[in-house]
Amino acid sequence: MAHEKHVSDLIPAYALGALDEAEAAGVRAHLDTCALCQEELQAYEEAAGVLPLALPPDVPPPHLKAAVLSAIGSVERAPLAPQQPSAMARLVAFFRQPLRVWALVGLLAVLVLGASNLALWREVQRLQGTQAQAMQVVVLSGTELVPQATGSMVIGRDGLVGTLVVDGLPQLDEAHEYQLWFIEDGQRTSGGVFKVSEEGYGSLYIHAPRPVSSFSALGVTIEPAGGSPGPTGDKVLGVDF
Amino acid sequence: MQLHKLSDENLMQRIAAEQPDALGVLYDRYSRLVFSLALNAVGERSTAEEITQEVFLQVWKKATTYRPERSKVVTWLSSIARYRAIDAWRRQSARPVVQADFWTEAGALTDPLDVEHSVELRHRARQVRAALANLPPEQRQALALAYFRGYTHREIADELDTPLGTVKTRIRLAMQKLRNLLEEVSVDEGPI
Repeated sequence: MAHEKHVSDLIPAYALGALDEAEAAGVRAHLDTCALCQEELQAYEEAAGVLPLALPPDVPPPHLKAAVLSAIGSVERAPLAPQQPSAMARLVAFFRQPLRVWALVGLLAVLVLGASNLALWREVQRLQGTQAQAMQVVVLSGTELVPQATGSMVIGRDGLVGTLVVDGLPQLDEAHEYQLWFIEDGQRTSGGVFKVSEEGYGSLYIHAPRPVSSFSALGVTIEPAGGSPGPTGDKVLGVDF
Repeated sequence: MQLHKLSDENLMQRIAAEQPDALGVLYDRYSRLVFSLALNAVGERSTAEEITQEVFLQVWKKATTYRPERSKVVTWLSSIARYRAIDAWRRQSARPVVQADFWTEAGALTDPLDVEHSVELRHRARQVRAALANLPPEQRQALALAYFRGYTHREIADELDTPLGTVKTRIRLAMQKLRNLLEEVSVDEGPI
């Protein structure tokens, strides 16, 4: 596939996580469709990956190895890389209570029908038009700070694109926005920023860097307008996978 | 089966198959690297030990998600360790300052019992130090702030009181040179 503009100049900094959110989002979107830039990224990630070898070495205490090996018994293993059957298994487990299923469907219907956002309605329609078993829904819960808040992320068949719909969040001032985070191995990757209406309703089109189900958690925090490289503010919504 | 003779990728397969001995060998190979990275970030040994333990438990937990076609094991492991270290550093109230030249000529990062991989790692470490030594100090410092502190361009510019465009150029040039130098050495050496 030909591309009018590669992101070669930005890839070295992207490999380090040194881009601001807007630039990083642009690079992510380009990488999804450019094998050449994906190869470039892999080469720069390999270069960055060996930087710690140059550090002054230090030796951990001898007991640490035994501590690691004795602790693995209590660690829950990750399943194999997400494939449709395991995502379906999680979806089925999530919806095993019928009342909860219809409550969620009802919530989505209210949120959609109550929305004046025609684009959101069309997006949900498009996602619902795909095979039903390919669509995933993830529910985010409000934290102690905003217990009445809820969020639903509808993810399309490829596991990468979808829409986050939120309700019950307080409207923020002009200097702040809500920011979505994909969380894995201590790393927080921004999923974008959004605002909510006076009624506390808002939505965000998402384009994840890799399948959403491969992350360990999602979170939404309050950040300065335009977003932050990493979470700095209060968490308002979250879910652990 | 002599596990210490296996490649990193083969060890990861065995770890994914829930073989603790394989994790032990991987720990022997890379615990110093992970611990050094953590200690460099937080400046305090007990916290660095906690981070090191968390990293290898994460390796055990996520071994089934590792894909050799996407990255080498050391790259994957370094990435896990790096972000744990950055998170821990950000949570600290008293934060160690990044030195411009803390990449030094120093001793081995390696396990004396795993000779073959020790030699390989020491060799690679020398290559990385040599590549870094070829960078101008200002590029090394910008690179260090980006890699070890997780700073963005803008944060580095604020930290160093340097124009944003200058920082962007330094990071880009440093990474390009690092990649090119490491690739040149790999090509020159070729197969044995």
